[in-house]
Amino acid sequence: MSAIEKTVSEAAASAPAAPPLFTSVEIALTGKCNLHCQYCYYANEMAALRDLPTDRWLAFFDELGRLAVQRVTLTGGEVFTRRDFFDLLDGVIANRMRYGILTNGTLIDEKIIAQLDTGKRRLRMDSIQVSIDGSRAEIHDRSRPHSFERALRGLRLLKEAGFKVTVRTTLNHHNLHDLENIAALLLEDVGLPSFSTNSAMPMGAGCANQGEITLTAAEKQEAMHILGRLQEKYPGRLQAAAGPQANLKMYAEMEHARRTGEKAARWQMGSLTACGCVFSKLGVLHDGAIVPCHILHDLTLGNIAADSLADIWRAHPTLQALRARRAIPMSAVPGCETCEWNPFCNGSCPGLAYEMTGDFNRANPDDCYRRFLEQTR
Amino acid sequence: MKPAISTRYLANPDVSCREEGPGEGAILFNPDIDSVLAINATSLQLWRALARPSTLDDLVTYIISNCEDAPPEQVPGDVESFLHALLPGGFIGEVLEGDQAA
Repeated sequence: MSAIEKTVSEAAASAPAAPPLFTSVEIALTGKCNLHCQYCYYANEMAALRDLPTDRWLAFFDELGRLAVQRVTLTGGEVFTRRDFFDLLDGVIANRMRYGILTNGTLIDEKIIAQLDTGKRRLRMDSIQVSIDGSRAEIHDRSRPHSFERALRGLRLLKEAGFKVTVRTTLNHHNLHDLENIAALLLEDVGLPSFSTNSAMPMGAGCANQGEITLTAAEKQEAMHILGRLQEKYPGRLQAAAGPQANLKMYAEMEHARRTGEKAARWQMGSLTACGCVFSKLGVLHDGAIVPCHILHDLTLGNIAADSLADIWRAHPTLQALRARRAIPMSAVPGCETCEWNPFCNGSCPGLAYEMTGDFNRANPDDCYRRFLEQTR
Repeated sequence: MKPAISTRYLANPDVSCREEGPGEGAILFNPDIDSVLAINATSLQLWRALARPSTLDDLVTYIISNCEDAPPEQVPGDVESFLHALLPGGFIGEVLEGDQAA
C-alpha cells in the first residue's frame, strides 16, 4: 500500500480508451476589448456573442472545482475590462485551481497590481502574459493601435512587482525587422528571463487583414534567420509553440528524419498527431459556448449553462473525431497522399486546418513544409 | 522521523482530489505549490478519513476496520509512509494545539 503507487504520467499511459478528464480550461471571460488589433483571431466572436454575468461564471467555476480541474487560462477580449474580474478570480481560487491570464497589458496600473497581490491571487498565478509587438510605438501600434506605452508600462509594473510575467510577440509584416530590437527591449531593458513568439494567423481580423499583416513565405524564412541569430545571442531565452521559430525546429527535424531515418522523439511523425489539446483541455467562449479550443471556436460542443462538461468530454462525437485523427496516416490525408514529406509530417494544428480548409482531418496549409519549400525556392 | 502518537493530521482543504473510478485511486492536486500526487485506492480511503483530524492510530484502526485484505501487521508502517509522502507537499498538515479543527 505505497502512497505513491504510480506517477501521473504512468497513470495517464495506462488510462483506458477514454482519456482522463481534462485538467485545464481556456476561458474567454469577455468579448469586450479596449483595443482593435489587426490580427485578433477572436474579433468575429467578440462582436457576435454576449458576455455571461458574474453568477453564471461563478457557478461554472464551482463545476470545475467539483471536477477537480487544476488550472484555467483567463482571456478575452481583455479580461481587465470586466469590473467583476477579481470576483471571478476569487471564484477560481476558491475552487482550488491555479490560473494564468492573457492580457494586452494596457489597463494594468498600480491598483490592479495591488489587487493581484491580495490573498492567494499571487500564489495561484501560473503566469500573466502581455502582448508586445514592437520595440517602439510606431511599430507596436501598427497592429495594436494606440497601446504601446500603456502595454509597456503594464509589463514593467508586473515585472517590478515580481509577478510571473511573460510576453508573447506576434510576428507580422510590420514588426519582422524590429524583432532584434524587441528582443533587446524585453530581455535587456525590461529584464525578462525569456519571451515567446508566434505569428499572425489568417483567422478573425487577421483573415480580413491577411495581405497587410500576416507573414509571406519569404518573410517567414527571414524570420527564421533572425530568430536563429537571436537564439545564439540569447541562448534558451526565446520560446515558441507556433510560428516561424517552432516551424524552423519542426522542419529541421523533418529534414533530419528523412536524411537519417531517425524520427523525432518529441512528436510522432507520419500521422495527424499534431494536437494534444483534445486529450487534456477544453475551451469556453464568453457566451458560455464549450469548444475544443479557442481556435476551433466554430465547433460548439455545448454550453456551460445547459450541458455537463464531463459528459461532453467523454462522449461528444466531435471530440472523439478530433482524438481519432491521430490514427489517420498522412498518406491518407487529402492533398498529402503523394507528398514526399508525409512520413515525417504530423499535419500541424487542426484548428488552422479547419479554418483554412473546412476540415480538421487535413493538414494545416500554413505550416506545410512542401508548400514552404515551393514558395521560398 | 516517526510521527508522535498524539499528532493529529488533517487534509489540506485547498487540495483537490480527482477520483479515477470505483475501486481505483485518485489524483491529488495542491494548487498552492502546483504539485500533483497519484494515490492508490487504499490511500484514497486514508485521504477521505483525513477530512477530520486523525492520529496515526486512528488511521491504522480505520484501515484495519475497512480493508479486509490489509495485513494488520503491515498497516502501521504503510500508514506512516502515507503520512510521510503527503506531508512535504502540503497535501496534509498537522493540527496545532488549540486549532479550531482540533
